[in-house]
Amino acid sequence: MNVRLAALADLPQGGTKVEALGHRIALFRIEDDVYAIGDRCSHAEASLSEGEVFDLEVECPRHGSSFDLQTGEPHTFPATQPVPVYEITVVGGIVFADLEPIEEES
Amino acid sequence: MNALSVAGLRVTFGTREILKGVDLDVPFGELHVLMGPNGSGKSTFCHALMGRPGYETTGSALVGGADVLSLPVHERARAGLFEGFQYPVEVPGVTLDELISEMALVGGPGVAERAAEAVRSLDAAEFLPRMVNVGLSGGEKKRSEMLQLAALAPHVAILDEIDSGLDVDAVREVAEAVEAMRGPELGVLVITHYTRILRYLTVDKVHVLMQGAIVATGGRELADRLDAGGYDVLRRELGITAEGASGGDFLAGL
Repeated sequence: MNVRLAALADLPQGGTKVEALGHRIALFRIEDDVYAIGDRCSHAEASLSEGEVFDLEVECPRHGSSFDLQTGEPHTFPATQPVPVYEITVVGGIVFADLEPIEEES
Repeated sequence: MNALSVAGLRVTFGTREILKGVDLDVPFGELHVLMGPNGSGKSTFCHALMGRPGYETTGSALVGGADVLSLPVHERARAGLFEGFQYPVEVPGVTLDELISEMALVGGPGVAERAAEAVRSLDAAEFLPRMVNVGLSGGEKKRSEMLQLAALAPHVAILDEIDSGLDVDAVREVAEAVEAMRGPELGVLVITHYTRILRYLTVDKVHVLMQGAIVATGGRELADRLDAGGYDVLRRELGITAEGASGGDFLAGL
């Protein structure tokens, strides 16, 4: 379903963590483009939204794995598994994602 | 209450009376088709309802229960009347995204939400940063219009010749988009003189406009009969002399 995540004007450049329907999402604003991947690093508990962004990659703040913002694939160890990628639509200044609800992880 | 309820609509353009008492109801949830030969008044019906200058009207046209005939164009739109144009106008300098932002200022946050859904279902994200309709193909313009329709969520959508100038694939795409918009809160009136788009639509009723009045109303089979035999079949059955077929009249209707 279509879920409103944020107003584009409220998003700073770089990463922002949002939660919606049980998803933990790292939004990255680069100029006026917005990318969204799963916030939790696929290697260990860490928030990718706090990582540094280089081109269209984010570097995990904990062990330094970098993830592609468009595909979710890790480009460097120690992570070997991709993180989810969310399809984002920005219209009328609002950032939306197409999400299915998931159970909250315990 | 109907999505659209037109009663005794007479329309004069200059000294010519083009519509001579049109009665037409489109209930919520239904899709009706208005057909008629060239010069019968289909486009006039559309222009007069939307409030195009130069058309003198009497009678009533209720959109979601409210008479719109005395309102200015933008208030008719706010009352829930949407017109999809035969040839959508290009608006250089205004992007589709800006247009939707402006709609949202008036129509509330639901506008952007519905627009986002339609952007996905119509695969129309590429249109958002572009100037409204500028440089789009015929089929793309119609998709852009369907996106605006979805965002505004009107009571009634009048789609004037939405199939003209489109190739077969684009006609099917537009028809599928129209079907996807259908719901219990929307009435749709498709104006056409071709039946090819009807192949892809689930039609509740067909109305035939001739010489300024609705002369026949029926189901899908009425359109099929017109497709097979032309409007002359209906003229003979109803004893209508083909006044509208003379050259002068045809040109006057353009």
